[in-house]
Formats: sequence, C-alpha cells, structure tokens
Amino acid sequence: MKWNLGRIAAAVLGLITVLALVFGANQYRQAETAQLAITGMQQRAMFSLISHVENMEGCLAKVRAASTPGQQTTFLTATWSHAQAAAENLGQFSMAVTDLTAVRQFVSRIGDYSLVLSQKVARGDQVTQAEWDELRRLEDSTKDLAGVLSDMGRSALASGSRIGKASLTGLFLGASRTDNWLNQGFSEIDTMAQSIPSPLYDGPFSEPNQAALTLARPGAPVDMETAKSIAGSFIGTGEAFQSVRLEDSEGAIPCFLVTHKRADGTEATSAVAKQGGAVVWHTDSFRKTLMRPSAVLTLAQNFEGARQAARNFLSSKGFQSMAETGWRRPGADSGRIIFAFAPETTVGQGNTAEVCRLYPDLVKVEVSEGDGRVMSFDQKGYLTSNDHPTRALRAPLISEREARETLKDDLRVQGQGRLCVIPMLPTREVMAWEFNCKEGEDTYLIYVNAMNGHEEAIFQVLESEEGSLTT
Amino acid sequence: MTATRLCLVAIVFIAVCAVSLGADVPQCFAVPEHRLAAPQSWWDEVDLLCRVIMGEATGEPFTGQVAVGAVMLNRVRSPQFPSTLAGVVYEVDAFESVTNGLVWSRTPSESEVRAAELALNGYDPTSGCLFFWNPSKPVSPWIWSRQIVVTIGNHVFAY
Repeated sequence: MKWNLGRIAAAVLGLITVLALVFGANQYRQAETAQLAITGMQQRAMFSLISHVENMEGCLAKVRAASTPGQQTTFLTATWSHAQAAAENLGQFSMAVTDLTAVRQFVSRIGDYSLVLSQKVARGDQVTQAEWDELRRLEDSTKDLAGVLSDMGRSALASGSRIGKASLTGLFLGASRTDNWLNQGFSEIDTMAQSIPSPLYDGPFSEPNQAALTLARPGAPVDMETAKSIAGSFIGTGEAFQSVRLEDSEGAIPCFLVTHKRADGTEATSAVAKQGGAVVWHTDSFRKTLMRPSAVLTLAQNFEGARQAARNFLSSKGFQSMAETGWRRPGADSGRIIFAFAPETTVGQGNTAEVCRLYPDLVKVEVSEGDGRVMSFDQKGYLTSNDHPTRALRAPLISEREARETLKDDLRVQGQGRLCVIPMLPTREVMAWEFNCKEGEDTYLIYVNAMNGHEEAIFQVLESEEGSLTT
Repeated sequence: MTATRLCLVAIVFIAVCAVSLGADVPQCFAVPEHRLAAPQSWWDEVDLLCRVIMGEATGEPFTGQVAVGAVMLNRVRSPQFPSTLAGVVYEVDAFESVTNGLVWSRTPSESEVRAAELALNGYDPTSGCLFFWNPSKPVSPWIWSRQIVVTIGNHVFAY
C-alpha cells in the first residue's frame, strides 16, 4: 500500500482522536471519583453534625437532672465538647452560597456558655436561677436545631443516589457543586439561628466580649489635615515621599489611614485616631538597603542596640515607666525584632505600696537590627486600656507570700512574685501575682488573684533563639 | 500541505481540550500531601498564613496584606468560624486561592512573610473585621450586608 501524505495525516488524526478519547474517559472517571469523595465528606460532616447536636441536647437535659457538682460539670463540659465538634463539622460546608456564620455562632455560644457554667460549678460558685433558666432556653433551641438537622439528614439520604455523578454535560460546560437540599436546609437554620437571642453571660464568645474595644480616653476630634501632619511627624525620618493618601476607617476606633508612598513603591502607613489624634498603629515596608536618613536614630548593629532604639523611640513619643515584657525575632536572619512593653504604676501607699505592671496596656515596637529604624508600632492595647474610666487599682488583699503558698509544692519559684494586672477577657481584667516557676525542664507563668488568692491563669513559656512564646 | 495543517490544527485542538478537561480535576490532588497538614508550631502558622496572604493579597499594599492576615486570625477568635487557623484557611470555599491551589504555586515573598508575622503578633489594621473581598470581583450577595469598616488597596474589610 502506498503511503501518501493524506493517509499518514488520517492515521495520525485517528491515533490522536483515540488517545484524546482515552484521556477524556480517564478524566471523567477522576472527576466522578473526586465528586463522590467531596459528597461523601459532606454527608459525613452532615451526620456527624446531627449526632453532635443531638448529644448536646442530651447532655443539657442531663445537667437539669444532675444533683452533684461533679455530674453537672461533667455534662456541661461534654456539651461544650460536642458544640466544638459540631462547629468544626459546619466548616465542611461551602460558604460560597449560604451564610453559615449565624448557625456556627449559635452552636459555639451554647458550648461557650456551658463551659463558663461548668467552670463556675467547679470553683464552687453558686449558679443562679437565671443562669439555669437560660440554660433551659438554650436546650429548647438546641432541640429545635436538632429537629431541622434531622430533616436535612433525611433529604440527604433521599438524594444520595443522584449525587456524585459527573455528567458529560457538566464536564464540558462546568459542573455545579451546589446541592439544593444543603442550601435550603441551612437557609432555614440560618433564619432560625438569627431569631434566637444570644445568652447573657461573661465568656470569650459572649456578645460584649466579641465587640471591638474603644478608646479609653477619646480626646478632641481631629480633621484630615491635622491627621496628615501627625502621621508625617510620627515617621520622623525627614525623607521626601512621592505621595500621601488618606483613607477612612470606621471600626471601633475610627481612624484616618495616612499612607506615605516612596518612589520605590514602599509605603509608611499610620492610623491616626479621629478622636484625640493618637497614632494607633504604624507600619513601614521600607527596604533595608535604603540609605538611612540623618533624622533616624543611630545605634549599634546588634540586639542591645535594637532594644535601646525601641526604648528611645517610646521615650520620644512620651511613654513613661515602660517595662519590657518580651521580644521576638521572626526568623534568625530577618534582621528585625518585635519588642513588647507594658507600663508600670504604683498601687497602695506607704509600706504597702507595690509596683504593678499593666499587661493589658501593651505597646509593641518592631525595630530593624541593622540601623535601629522603627518598622512598626502598635499601641491599640495601651489606648483602649490605659487610664480607663472603669479601672480602679486597689492595693492587693493577698500578699506575695500568701499567694506563693497557694502554688503547687512541686514547682520551683524563680525569684519574687510580681504584681500585675492581666486581661482575663476583653472586658475584664484582674490584679494578680505573677510567678515564674519551673517544673522539670518546663517553665510556667502562674497568676494568682491578688484579691482572693484563686489561681487565675497558667501559661507555659517556650524559649528559643527567636525569643519566647507563651501558650 | 493541507493534510499537514489539518494534523497540526487537530493536535492543537486536542491539546486544548485535554488541558481544559484536566482543569476539572480538583487541585488538591496535585498538592503534596504534607502540605495539607494542619500547623503544629509557630512557623507552621507563619507559613500557612503567609501563603494565604500571598494568594489573596499579592500586589496589595503592605498594610492590606497585614489586614488580610488579621482577618483570618480574627476568625479564629470568633464563634462564627473554626477555632484553629487551619480550620479557617481550609474552610470550604472560604478563600479562592486555597480552593484553586494558588497558595502552593510559589514561595511567599519577604513582604508576605513579614505581614503574617505582624498579624500573628497582634497587629490589626481592620479593628476586628471578619470579612474581606474585592468589590470588582463576583461575590455572594449576602456579604454586602456586612458593615464595611475600611478599604485598603483593592479590598474592603467588614465586620
């Protein structure tokens, strides 16, 4: 047979077509497998969610029947655990079509409320009738949620045989990943969840503690031009910028965002509070190879130099009595260090006067190790806490020695205890004695309430070359 | 020559079809398994966070990159979202760059790493926002019901 060009082309075309069909069939099978896997994950999450919500309902019912604090704590903690798991399962469903935030918030708050009550029972405090009534209301809401979820589960089972088949049409036109039974069900739950009032309590997820904090001492309003001037003098490098841009931020602390842009594209941004004109935070993306302007602080190229640069910077901005609380070097070769500082004040008078460190009033400064240049600054904690009208610092009722005696015998206390104020929640702080303790090779910071001697918080300290972390 | 051209056209056509069909395979199958592990340490958290910042805020002002990182950490602290960074990042359809695998496509820049570090050290240009989006891109309608706090670069940030 004579092979001319036409026959060769036809043969090649035929081969390519066969290969393409084989490839296409393989892709179809893979797409179908993937679709089935995703649907399986969603259905698993669905039925796990139903199971955990039903368990929440069951545990809350048992709390009502429990007569001992031990049993009450057990079931309340179990409710919290099931709520956590239910919230995690909600994360398996797509947010692209249905807003699940109200549902997850509802579930999380029930768990949070249960945990707060269990801690109260464990401490031996009295749970009020109002709190028990609130728990009963939440139990009824959980029962309603469980009912709707069960209906969704039945719909899931009914549609299961049709889910996961990747159609040829979908393959070419783009298959939709939404499932109607899911979206409709969660829409109903979302409507239901939004209509249920949030429980009134003092916990991490309660409404007051989720709201962003406002300025402690707002001050007089400033206009845009004043904000621009404040930001310019805050940078203090004397360099010329290519442009200045202002934006509005209407968060809990309304600010003007003043951005100074350099010719190389890097920017220095300062958030100037509209009330009072304080610089809430500042970041600078300057490149460290830039020539250092003469107005920038000149200090040695080492850690102590950077530390002194941070201290000098705070002093130049009017901060008094600031104690360093820690530092972190993000990466061995980053060439910059973030220092944290907290103000110290005196509580009590005469012989009982004690220096007290105010941890909620934290200020952070990031310094370039090479030249001591300030790369970022944050005083949001300081502005929202320091000199707050509701803060009343009294002399401690428990002495350092009495607080030390409450510590576990196995712990080796390093040095003396330090009086401090620590944030328990965004809206609550306590005065406590801070003890640096060792147990084996592990280091802990333990805080004992200076008013009643209760152990309030424990942190484990993890030291490394990059600084220290507390967990 | 006509047959040769026909061959070439056919090859190109088949190649285009093959690529478009291949795009239907979920990107997660192309990602090494160890990349899908939840973070176990500070540096894992920095790595995960800076990758999402890279995917969502490449080309944005540095403050905008810190803001994107802060939004993710605000979600961790909120009862409306998962309680871990990995849970927030890998939530289904939460971030386009995670869904399409862009977060693993290249190494984050120094700016993106620094933005993640600042966010993890508590810097928050958004005052506690939980959502951000680019208004010029299609988004779910419900997100426009959120209270907008600030616009930084191409992103709006909202409670």
